[in-house]
Amino acid sequence: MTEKTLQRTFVGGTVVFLAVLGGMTVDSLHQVNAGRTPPVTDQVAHGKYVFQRKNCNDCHTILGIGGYYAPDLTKVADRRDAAWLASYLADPAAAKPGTTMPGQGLAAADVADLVAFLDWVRHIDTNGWPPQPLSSLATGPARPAAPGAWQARGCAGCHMVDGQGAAGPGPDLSRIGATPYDGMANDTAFLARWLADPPAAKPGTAMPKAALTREEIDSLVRYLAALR
Amino acid sequence: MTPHASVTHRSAVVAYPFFLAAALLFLLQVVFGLLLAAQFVWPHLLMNVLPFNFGRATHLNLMVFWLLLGLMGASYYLVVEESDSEIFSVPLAWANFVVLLVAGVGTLATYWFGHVAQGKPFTEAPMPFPLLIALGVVLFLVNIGVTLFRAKRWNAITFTLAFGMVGMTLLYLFDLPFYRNLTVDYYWWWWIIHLWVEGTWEIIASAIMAFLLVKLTDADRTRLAKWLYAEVALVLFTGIVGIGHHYYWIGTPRYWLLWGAVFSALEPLPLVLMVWDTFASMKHRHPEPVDHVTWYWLGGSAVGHLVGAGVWGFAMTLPQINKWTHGTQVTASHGHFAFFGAFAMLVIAAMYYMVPRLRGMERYAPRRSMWAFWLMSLGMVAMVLAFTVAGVVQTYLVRLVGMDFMAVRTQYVSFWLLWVGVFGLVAFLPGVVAFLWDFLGGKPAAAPAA
Repeated sequence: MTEKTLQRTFVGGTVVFLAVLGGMTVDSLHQVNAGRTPPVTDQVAHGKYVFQRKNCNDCHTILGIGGYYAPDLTKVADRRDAAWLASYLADPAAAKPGTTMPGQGLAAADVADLVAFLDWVRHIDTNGWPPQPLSSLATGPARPAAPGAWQARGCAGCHMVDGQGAAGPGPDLSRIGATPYDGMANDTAFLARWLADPPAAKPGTAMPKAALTREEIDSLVRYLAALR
Repeated sequence: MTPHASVTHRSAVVAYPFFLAAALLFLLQVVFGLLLAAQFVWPHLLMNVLPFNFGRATHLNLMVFWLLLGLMGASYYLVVEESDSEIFSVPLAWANFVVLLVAGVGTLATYWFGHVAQGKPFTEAPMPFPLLIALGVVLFLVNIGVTLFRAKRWNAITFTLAFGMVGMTLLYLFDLPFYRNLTVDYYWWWWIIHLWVEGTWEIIASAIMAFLLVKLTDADRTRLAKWLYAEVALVLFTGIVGIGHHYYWIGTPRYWLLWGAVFSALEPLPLVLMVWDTFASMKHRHPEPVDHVTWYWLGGSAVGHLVGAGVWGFAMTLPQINKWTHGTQVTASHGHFAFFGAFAMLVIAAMYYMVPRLRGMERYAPRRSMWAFWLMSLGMVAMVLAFTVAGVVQTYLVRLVGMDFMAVRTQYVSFWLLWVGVFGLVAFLPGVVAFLWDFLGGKPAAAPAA
């Protein structure tokens, strides 16, 4: 082939492949806007603006893209409830002593918008990413299932069970039904009293009092007692 | 500054400020890299003064910036020689340089003192700096374009160089709007990041590599031109749809898993061709080349490009694997290896060829230059291996076992990041210092024995 032919092949082929990508782009963006992502409200869009302005993405990954320095935020709103997220974003060190996230000095409205954005992100259809850890599949049937309150009340934000959840500041609860923690009892009566008002049961504890319903306390006590 | 006799057109000297700024910013980039590694180990270090996110933005932006300035400097030098004419306008080249410098300094100052950014990794620069960057690049394109059109000396090297530069500029325009939908935002962001580093930058790098091969080996131009077109064609034919490997998990349709896998599996192909071509040119060299330093950096770049971009990239590109490694330090290992091999080593090769000539000598005495080469190359390989172990451990513990991200980061990843920092401090940084020492104070090599 002559140099001229090769040059024409290069330019012509590039145009063809760009056309292919262009076609796929039209279809992809159509599907993205038609249901693969939820509708974007003004509040969500402003939350995204705050997310960018504070450069959150250079510590945190989101959809797996970012700084690899802090947890991925794609499903963070599954792990923590809106109230916890709002208190943490407003003052990280107060909500989680010892955290390495710097305070962002956010206005209350910015916090609310950011929480709305993070809640929006978890509904994106990511083709199943991030994947379920294999250990949860392996140990799943033999272990008790966490009740809804465990997730809704953000327990996993401070505690770990079977390697999932947070490594602190709360203790690992994987065996709490069999092994008492820190000299306290682990019978169902104590656990119920503890969950209703931790500082009353142990003055000075770092565990905050959550306004749990009677049903939530019952389900959590059953779960914790079964963690053996 | 009086250039060497081999610099036939005086205006090539305008490349020098671009190279000088590039070299100094490279050093600054490495210093910030060391700070980031230290913050992995001691997370409270400068936590509120220069938090990790703005340190990382600085590290990434400096990399893009010094490589861009280096590629521009090399382009000014190359275009003047290849077109056998003076540059269209030296003041315009200076304006191009100053606009970019102001944009760069303004961006960094906003990060450091305002803690404000706009956008996603690599493209964090807040308004109005993206507009200034775009302006600087357009001034550059006008200058290079008019020079080439006036001289009417198009060849494979100048054609592919201009093609790559125009493409790079057009793609950057996707950075300017604010996108309300995160998925849509990342969709276009990858047009910049992917179609730069696996598209237009590759084309620019191939053109500069071909130019240096001609200069070093006196290789047959017709043969080299054909190789060049074959390589850049394959880069784009595989790389354009290969963007799909970034569309697996961001909210885009499922068919990208197949398209991304097939096309990115083919992406190493042009890199194999490039290594083959480079070493084949060297084998048929005539006469025996004397500029060993440039050759080492050029050969190193070809190999680093293939291993860093080809092998390390391929290792994580298939969706079955990427599902687990996505969002871990495995990506950082590939990023460091590929950027250093494909672009940093090439720009340094161009500087080792061009800077001594601009400063009035044919080439530098090679002793310190070889130290720079080996310290940087081996330092980077060691850093990449530490990143890779960090990534594999992290993938296993976080993704497969399901441990908490922060527990793994503070207890396991930080240990390997400490080693990244150590290798950076004892090997890579001294290599960069040796390179800068050469750049500013290199002495001419003794004339070869007759």
